[in-house]
Amino acid sequence: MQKLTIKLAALLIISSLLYACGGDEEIITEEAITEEVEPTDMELLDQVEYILPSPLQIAELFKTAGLTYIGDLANKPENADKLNSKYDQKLNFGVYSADMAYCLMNDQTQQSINYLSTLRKLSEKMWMTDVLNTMGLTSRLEDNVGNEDSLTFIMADLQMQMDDYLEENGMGSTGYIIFAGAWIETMYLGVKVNENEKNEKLISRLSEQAVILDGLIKSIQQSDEDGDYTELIADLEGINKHFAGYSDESEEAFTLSDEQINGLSLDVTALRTKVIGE
Amino acid sequence: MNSKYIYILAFSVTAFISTAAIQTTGICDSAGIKSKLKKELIPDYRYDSSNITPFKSSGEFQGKKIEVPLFDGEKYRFVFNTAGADKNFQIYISNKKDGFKTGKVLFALKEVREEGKDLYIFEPKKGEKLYITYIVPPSLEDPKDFCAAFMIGYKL
Repeated sequence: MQKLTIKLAALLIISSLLYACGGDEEIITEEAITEEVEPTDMELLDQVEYILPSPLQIAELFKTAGLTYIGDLANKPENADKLNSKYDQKLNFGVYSADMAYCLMNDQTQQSINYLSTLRKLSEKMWMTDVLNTMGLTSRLEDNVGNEDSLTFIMADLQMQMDDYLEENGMGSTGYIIFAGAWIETMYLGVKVNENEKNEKLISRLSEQAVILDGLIKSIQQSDEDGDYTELIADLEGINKHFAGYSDESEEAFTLSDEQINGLSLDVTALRTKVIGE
Repeated sequence: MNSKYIYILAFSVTAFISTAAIQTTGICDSAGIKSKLKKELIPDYRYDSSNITPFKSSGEFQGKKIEVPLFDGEKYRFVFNTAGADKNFQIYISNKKDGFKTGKVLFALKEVREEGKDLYIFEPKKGEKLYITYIVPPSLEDPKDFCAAFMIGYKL
């Protein structure tokens, strides 16, 4: 960094001298600065921001891998009444979003509407406003009942509007907690369906989640200025241990063994039980 | 009026002006930018995620690195908005965290930049973890605000 500062200082002095001599040279000098800065500075940026995929995409990947519908697997809407803290409400907003996506993708229309109503209630509790209704989601969903493709596009739009809402209201960390809830629930649905009937494709998609879990943990850590999420971070790190064999550097696909997938199932189920408060 | 109240009033007015100034400079029209980006995903790609980063060009080097995980075998489209950015603003996409050092640079704005164009599309060939790097080189011109933005869409 010191080297860079010296270079820049030298260039600034040279550019000032050139500027004093005439007009056109200023542009040339700026281009020279760019040339000097470009190649090395990708390495100087140590701080990384993490982008998380939409939970809907993960649910769709699981669905195409064979995530079948099992009736009583998703969380009960009435459990939402027991959520008193904002933290639990945020996490479970994610859980119920994942459940709604699970039902929508499996043509469980009435159940999806029940989850939508639970999400609206939670939204009012958390933000004093029914964000989902403001976004016109209710009417759009009702108009497209039965059309899975349209419904998933509507859910994708909802994700974008939610991202906008949280960003514009300075609630970026809330987005990470909601994502964590949705991710835990989708993983739970995945491991349970796989427990019911072993599915290699689903195991492959479950294993692949190693790609995002590390980023999710780091995102929460970066936004946790007051130490409110220490327990969640520790819980997610516990899950991450199951993905210890995964490496970004490896060209080979990472797949959990039977023993590892059993361990993951146990821990994901325990965490999900804790999150929904059962 | 008591001088104490004059100070309080003066402080309040200054605080209000400062806050207003911060809000104005910090604001990107995220809904407007996203709606422009989303048009480039339709009809084949569904919204996956997005990011808007406000920058103020200055005499200092600035930059940002963003990690984007992609899933194996899926198709993705990245749309970048560079409206209002300095002509020296750079975007790189690499498959390794340290960029040039050990990875491949898959996209470089400087290779495709066109006068008057501010939307750029990149479609990765394979689903892997990618790193987006923004570089705002030091500028000798007056400080200028702009919002670097991108949106990712996926196709199953």
